[in-house]
Amino acid sequence: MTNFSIGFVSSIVIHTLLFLFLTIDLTLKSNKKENFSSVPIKFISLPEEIKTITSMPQKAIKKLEPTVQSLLEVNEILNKPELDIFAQENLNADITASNLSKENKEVQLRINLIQKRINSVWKKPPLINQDIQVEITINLAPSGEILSFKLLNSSKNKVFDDSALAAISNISFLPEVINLDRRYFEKNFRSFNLVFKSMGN
Amino acid sequence: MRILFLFFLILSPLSESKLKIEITQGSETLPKIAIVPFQNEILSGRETISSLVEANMTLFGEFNSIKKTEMLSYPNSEENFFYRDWRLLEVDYVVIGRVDNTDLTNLDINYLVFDIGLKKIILKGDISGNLNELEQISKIISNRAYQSITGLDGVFNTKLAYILNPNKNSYKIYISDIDGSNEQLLFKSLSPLMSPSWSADRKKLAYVSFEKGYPEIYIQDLLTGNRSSIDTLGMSNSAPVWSPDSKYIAFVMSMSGNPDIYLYNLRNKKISRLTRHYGIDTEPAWSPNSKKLLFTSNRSGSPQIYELIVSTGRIKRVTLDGDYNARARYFPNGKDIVLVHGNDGVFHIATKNLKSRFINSISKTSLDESPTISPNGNIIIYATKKKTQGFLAGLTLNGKSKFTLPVQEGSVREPAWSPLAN
Repeated sequence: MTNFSIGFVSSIVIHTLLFLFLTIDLTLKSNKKENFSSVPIKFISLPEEIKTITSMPQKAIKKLEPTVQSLLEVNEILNKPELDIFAQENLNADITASNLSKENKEVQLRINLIQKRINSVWKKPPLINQDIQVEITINLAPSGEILSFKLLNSSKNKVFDDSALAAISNISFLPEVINLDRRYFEKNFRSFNLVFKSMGN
Repeated sequence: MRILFLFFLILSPLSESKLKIEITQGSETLPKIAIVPFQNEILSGRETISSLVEANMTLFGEFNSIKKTEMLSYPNSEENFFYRDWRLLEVDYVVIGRVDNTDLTNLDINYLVFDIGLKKIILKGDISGNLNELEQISKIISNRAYQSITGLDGVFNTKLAYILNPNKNSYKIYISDIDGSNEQLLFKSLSPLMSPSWSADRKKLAYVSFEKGYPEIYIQDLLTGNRSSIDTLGMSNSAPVWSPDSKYIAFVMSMSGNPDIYLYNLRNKKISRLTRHYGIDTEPAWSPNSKKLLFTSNRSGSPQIYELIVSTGRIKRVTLDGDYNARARYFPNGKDIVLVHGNDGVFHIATKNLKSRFINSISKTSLDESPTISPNGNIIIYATKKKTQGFLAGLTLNGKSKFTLPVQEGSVREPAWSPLAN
């Protein structure tokens, strides 16, 4: 009986110690993690995914990653009546949350204009319910001249790849970057990628 | 561990720093195409090849064409073709050609398709035939040009079957070329005709006739005009659809006054039952691989679309939203469907992916019915109504083009797009 009691008590003690040890260890680990993620990894977080909002189905808008939105684009979005309130709130939250530096604004403005220009010349081929994308690298001169471009990741659909390449070769010039601060240009637009997406159709 | 973190810290800005700009929308304007007059194409007063090809390419509003008078030059070979002439006119694609042998019984036609944006030839073709085949030759050139530009099959030599109702007591079933030409009357009756369906080889048409006072399926040979009803022991039957593998016709029969889906085996002429439910099961449609059927059933209380696996008989409900979903057809990819989606008495043509819940209305008119999909999956033709007159309308899937097909007299209903020619 005493053996049993001793065994019972010692088991409780050992389990408690084990529990404490583990939780402390975990807290330590999660602390470390927080510390780590609070370190600025990049000077500016360049938006990985910038979408032309007007062409997106609403469900995709809801999934929008919190990216840095320029005031210009946000205003444009907010003026679209077809967007639901949920998406608007999300975007409002994004503006207040994001730290809009001067560079960010300048770069984002150019991105919007470049999107607009390329959208206007891209003759998207008919694609029956396929979600595919093609990525093209563009090398630009500060004068806006497209020095070269090449296919980086094919969509495996030749007609789709060709339509994107034709759009770029039809432009040959991106004057949007002309008045951009040279440092910002070198960092962002000297060489950048265009991702053409089919989004279903 | 810390060293590893540090390593990532240094690496990550390098690996992710390249700016990515996404382009998703594309231009609102249609691609511009120029069909240059072919050299030596004026042949004893016939319509020219270039004008026939132009009519085809612009038939469904998928391209804008530029007028011949706006062209800066009429090149007829690679040597005298200058890309800048066409870039100046903001043309995206150019078709040129020449008729080499002007012997009217043995024409030899060479043609080229240029992609102006890419500055390259995307198609070199030649075809021969005689003067009386010009229309067919132009369709083949158009199909190939369309395929080289869009990556989709050209459908210019497909056909359309439809029911014409010239007045109250007259019903006619017609087939015509997809552009409405070469209309051919198959059968006329004082009783209703319905539900035309093409055989995969385009040689036969199945449809429903009320000529005996009750609905009955007839199969008509298009070459001979011979027609025969399928033997169902005198029970009324309707809504025939030919399986793409040509083995079966799925149809609707009311064994005990309640419609269910049945299969008619075209080889041994035997009938087998697929659905057993006290609800109404109707409007079957085959999947492109002939293994599944879509059908409309009111078993849940309102008309909804269901999918049936023919080999196992397993049934799955496909549409969940809306109080009326009916008359579904598969897209050629087998993954998407087109259907009639109704809410509060308004009926639109809609598309739906079988895996997603979302139903996407694509037509703007309000009494739309009987959608039929082009064999390349890019165009939908459907029946609609203006006041009491029924007519056919169509649209491309990207929504950039909407068109109507003219009617001379009466009402047109139930269009059925033929398969591709083999």
